[in-house]
Amino acid sequence: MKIIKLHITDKELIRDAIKNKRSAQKKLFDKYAPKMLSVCRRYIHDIHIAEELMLQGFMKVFTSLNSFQFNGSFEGWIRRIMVNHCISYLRKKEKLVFVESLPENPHLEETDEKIDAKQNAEFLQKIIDELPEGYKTVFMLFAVEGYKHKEIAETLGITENTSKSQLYKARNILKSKIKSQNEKQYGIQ
Amino acid sequence: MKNNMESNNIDEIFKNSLETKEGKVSDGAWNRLEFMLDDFEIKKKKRRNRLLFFAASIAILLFVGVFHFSSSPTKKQLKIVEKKETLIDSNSIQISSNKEIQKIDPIKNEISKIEIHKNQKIVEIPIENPELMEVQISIKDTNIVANKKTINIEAEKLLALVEDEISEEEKNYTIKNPLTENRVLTRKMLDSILVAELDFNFKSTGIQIDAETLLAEIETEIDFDNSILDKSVLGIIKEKIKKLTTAVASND
Repeated sequence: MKIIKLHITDKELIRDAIKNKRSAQKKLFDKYAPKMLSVCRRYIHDIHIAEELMLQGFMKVFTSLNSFQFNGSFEGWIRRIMVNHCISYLRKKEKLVFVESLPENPHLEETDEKIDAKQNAEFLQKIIDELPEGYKTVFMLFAVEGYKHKEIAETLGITENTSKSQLYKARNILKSKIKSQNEKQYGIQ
Repeated sequence: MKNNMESNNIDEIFKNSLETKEGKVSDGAWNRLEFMLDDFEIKKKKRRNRLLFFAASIAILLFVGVFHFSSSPTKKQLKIVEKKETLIDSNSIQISSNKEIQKIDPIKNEISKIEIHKNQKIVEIPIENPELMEVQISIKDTNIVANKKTINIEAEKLLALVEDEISEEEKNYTIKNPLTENRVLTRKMLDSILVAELDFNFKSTGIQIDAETLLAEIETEIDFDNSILDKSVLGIIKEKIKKLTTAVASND
């Protein structure tokens, strides 16, 4: 009886990709490229540059597959490579500017706005893009990627206080924009 | 607490909304990536080949170097830049200098060379057999005129000193005698002829003569112009005697 293997696991694909098998590399690319393009797009406003950075990120992925330990998530590993590559690009272009000022107790001064949870992804991406690069990067790393302030500080080469300050300001701006949007859309005061 | 919840709330909204979002990858994206991967492989191969080439070059250089040094002659050489006195005996060679003293333990039937550098001149004294080394050279003053210097020398010693100058190819000689057919003269035969000729005047008495006289006597006895010996051999002998006597005189 002939058994046809319908499902090839990531592990097998990764092992074949390490051996430089183009078919395995293409399958991994097809599977993860759309998600990774979205990751890059969060940090890079220009979609073409974001895609170019994603391809360069995949180059890094395929040329350093040997170092992947099969303990954690492969997607998480690729995502981290993509994020680091985008941040390197921003730092090289000197787009990351951080203003180091932090209120004594940032949480107490945050605006107290009701947030409508049903926000459109495109709208959220739009207001994210409007943030200054420093605010945006710290907010994304903290809120979406789940980094701690210590990790953010190490990744971006800033202090933890600067990271907290950027996050605080980013949140306030985002909240105020969501509030305005809610007012326009639903007439909520 | 309320603000914390608000913060978490907004973070969650963005996380939930953006995390699952997927972008639309352009059609030619994979082809571009494939091209980049191919290019990377080519560069990697070139880099590897270059490394192999360098490694092979270094290995060859090392091999040639080791071979060169291991195959160089094992002759012992002493180089003295500045010295006042050189003393040679049958068991050892000891050189006294105003700066250092060097000593070589008994030479076991090996050819040794002593190079003496003084006033830009080099004197090479080949010694084949330590048992014959009865030559004693004393160098005291460079300003003494050559023809006033004397040397104690025996025929065998003189022959021993000359031997190294004759290469392997010249160790068999052709005697060009119009009265007889050309024939090969072995080294041993030549040695005995030379010893006999030189001993005729010097060996029996071991007399002291000056350098110029020694040369003149040898020339007379051997008759360089009319000797039956090969000219090149005679040339070497003559040159060696001249060199020896001049060097001894200038260094005495």
